Amino acid sequence: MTSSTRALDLFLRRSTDTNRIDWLANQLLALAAESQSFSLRLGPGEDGIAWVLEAFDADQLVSTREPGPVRVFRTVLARLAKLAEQETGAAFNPYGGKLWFDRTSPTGPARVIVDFINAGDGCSLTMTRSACPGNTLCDEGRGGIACAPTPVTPATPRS
Amino acid sequence: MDRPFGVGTPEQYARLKAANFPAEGGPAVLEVEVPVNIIAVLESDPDARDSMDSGDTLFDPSVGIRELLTAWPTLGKRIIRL
Repeated sequence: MTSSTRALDLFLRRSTDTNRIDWLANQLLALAAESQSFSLRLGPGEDGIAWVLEAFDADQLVSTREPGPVRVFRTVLARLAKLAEQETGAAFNPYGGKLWFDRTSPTGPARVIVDFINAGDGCSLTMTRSACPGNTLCDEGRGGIACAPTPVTPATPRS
Repeated sequence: MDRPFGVGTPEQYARLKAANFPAEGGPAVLEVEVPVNIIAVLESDPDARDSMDSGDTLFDPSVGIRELLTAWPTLGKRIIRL
């Protein structure tokens, strides 16, 4: 299962947690901490009417028109902005920005870089595990983001 | 609403909007009293309820906007200038 498939699957699943938005935000960060990079994009589909949520990584692009994921995606983006404000002191901006989160992964500490746009005409989110997770070099930059992420190139085939 | 502002407070959104539209008089919050029967429409939709649990009360064409628009002229409203 690729990280894009797993990311989309999180949105299609109904968690038993009391707060699904919190659960989704933290599950996406956990997935990013153990992956290289993945992106999600919300926008009008090919018919220009129904909105589509796409998830992609370097290997695969998957999508859904299910109304549930489409409805909650923007709330998840705003929640990530709020979590970053609480965890790292980032200035709160639910409409977009570049954030970072420190998480643990199966291989140790990881810094996740979050790039997002949350606008009425389209939204996107890229989560990338930093190249130098959790080490002192990263921690020196605690007011900002010390490690540059590698941008993900979307896979071309649709499914 | 008696729910946490998990996606930011109304005041934060008002200030961000005001910064984007500096010629429109400064930040303000429009507080609307929405009857429980209209909130119940959102509560009955799992996705709308999940968003509300994080503080995002979203009326859209698929859930709740028709009921909100019908009741809009009679709803209590208050402008809170910041």
